[in-house]
Amino acid sequence: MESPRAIQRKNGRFTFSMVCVVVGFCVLAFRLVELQVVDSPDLAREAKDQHRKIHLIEPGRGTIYDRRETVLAINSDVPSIFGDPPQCLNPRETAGTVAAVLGLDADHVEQKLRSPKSFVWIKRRIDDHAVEALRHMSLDGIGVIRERQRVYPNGALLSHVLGFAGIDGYGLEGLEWKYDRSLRGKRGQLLMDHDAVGQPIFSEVLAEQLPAVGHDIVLTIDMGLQYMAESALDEAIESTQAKGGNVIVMDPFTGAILAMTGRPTFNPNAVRQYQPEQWRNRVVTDPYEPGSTFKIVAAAAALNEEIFRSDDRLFAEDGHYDVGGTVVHDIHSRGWMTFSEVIEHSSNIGAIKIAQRVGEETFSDYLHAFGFGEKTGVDLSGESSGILRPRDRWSGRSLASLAIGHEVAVTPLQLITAAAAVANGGSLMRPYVVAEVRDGDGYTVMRTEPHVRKKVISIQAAAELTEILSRVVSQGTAGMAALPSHAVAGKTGTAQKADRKHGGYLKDQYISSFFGFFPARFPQLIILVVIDEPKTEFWGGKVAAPVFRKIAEQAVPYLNILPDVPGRDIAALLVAS
Amino acid sequence: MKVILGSALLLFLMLFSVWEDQEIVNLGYATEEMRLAKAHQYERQQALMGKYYGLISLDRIERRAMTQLGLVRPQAGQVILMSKQ
Repeated sequence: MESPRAIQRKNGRFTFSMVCVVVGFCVLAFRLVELQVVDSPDLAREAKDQHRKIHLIEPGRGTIYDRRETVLAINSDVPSIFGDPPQCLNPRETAGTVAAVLGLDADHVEQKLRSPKSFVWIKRRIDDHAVEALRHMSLDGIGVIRERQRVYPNGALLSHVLGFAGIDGYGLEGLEWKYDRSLRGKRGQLLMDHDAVGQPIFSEVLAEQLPAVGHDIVLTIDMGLQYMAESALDEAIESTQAKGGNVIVMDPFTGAILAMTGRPTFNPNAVRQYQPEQWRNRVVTDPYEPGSTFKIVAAAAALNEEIFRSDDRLFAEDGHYDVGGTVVHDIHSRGWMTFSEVIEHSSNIGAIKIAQRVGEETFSDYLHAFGFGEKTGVDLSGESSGILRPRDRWSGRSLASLAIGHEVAVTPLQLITAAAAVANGGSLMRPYVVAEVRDGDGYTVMRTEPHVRKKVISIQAAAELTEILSRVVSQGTAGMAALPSHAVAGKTGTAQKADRKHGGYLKDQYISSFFGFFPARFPQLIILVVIDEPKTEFWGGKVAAPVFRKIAEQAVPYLNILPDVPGRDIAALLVAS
Repeated sequence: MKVILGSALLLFLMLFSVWEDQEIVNLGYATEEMRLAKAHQYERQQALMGKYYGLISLDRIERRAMTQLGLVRPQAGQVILMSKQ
């Protein structure tokens, strides 16, 4: 039997224990409430942050197609090698192995692997074989990331028009730069839940950060014609040992550019191997003195103003003509010539006399009407306005010089656009290379329609000048441009290059050119060929005209261009419409 | 008896809830795997298109036709155009 004192002590201990338990539970309950109620939102957010991450979604850059939907520029992913220096246990040995596989300097790689950073690039954009080789070696601190790369399947073909995109996917040159905002699309964000080992469980695209795929671009370029133009130009440059050259092929009625190329060129897949000056699209950026091809302006003005008809005669001064103290010569001395013969045989004196009859003011108006001295508005970057002095700064010899294509500098694109105005019945078109832009779902968001900038000459004047230009090919200076099956109209040009350092002209340095359109009375194509500093021969009719013929001969079956037929000509069509 | 049945029902509901959660997580893994596979296939398709258009590039075909097959361009007069009419 326990004593009352012992029982009292036991009760006291029991009560104390109970109080401790109750207090303990109260503390726990308090903490539980604190965690579950008071701190709950913060803790829940912290927990989410630990297993939720935001990933950036890089939108695919849009594809560029030619008018037949051939891919010209597309994305591809390529492996790049990076280093994680803290994870690399033996930098010297690893650097030696990696350098041997990737063809790098071992010391340089080792220096990178000894960096205090946790990420260093070893080599970007390598081939898959090197990656496989490195994978088999399972090196510490070396990893592979796949990066997007822009690929140009046709290599150097059309490179000046396409331009290129940089290593980070931004357009840097050409259409890639000009249409960068459309092509690049919009970056989005992806909210992703990860498990304990970092494996993604759920993902959700953030509504306010939806990605937008880059738009696709369809060009007016036809890669078949582009290839014909480039290979013909290459052959001509090789055979004449020329410094460079340009070719443009255009639809004269719409201004759509079907081919455009220049030399020197570059391969956009390996752009760093070329000098930046090789990236330039000289067709739109570099003006030159056009020489005799420019005589069409004076001729068009004279016919449109009805100052001359094609069979009117004028005296060519037997090959020597004094203009403001400077004697102008013709290659072949001639006396009386018809207006048509002046153009057919490219008489300088005849062209000057025509311009003099037209008059300074009117001739100046026609120069501007044909678009010289201003940009054509083509949708390509870096376009030059050319050089055309305002009339109040002309000298006493300017009218004569301009009549034969001197004292003026034009881009090849300006010249072909002006010539196309003669070919199409008198309308100066805005040239363009982008036919349409499509969104990621294939819907057209922008379509380029042919745009008439201005009406330059009448249909009758254009038709009469076309007849004269046909005789340039059939009887005049451009015999080598003639096609057996189709009538061709065109004009040759041979200009000495201007000496920019000392003034005047450089001896033995020429620009030979020819533009032609066919079938003459209802042309489907107009082609301009410009050869820069040919060495073996320099006449436009012998250097540039054969290049035109080569392209035209291939284009005829390729586009199934039928010869002229009686009753189908530009004048009849336009008058009827 | 009621207590046992109640406990069994409670246990069943708990297990069902756990199974359901597990299924959702598994579906999440599967969905993510498919999303990644789709992205990979798209990239592969783009790369293959790039390769394909590189292989059919006119420059490459003509070079091969002329150097390996010995083909030549048609001479003037060998191409005869037929009118569609």
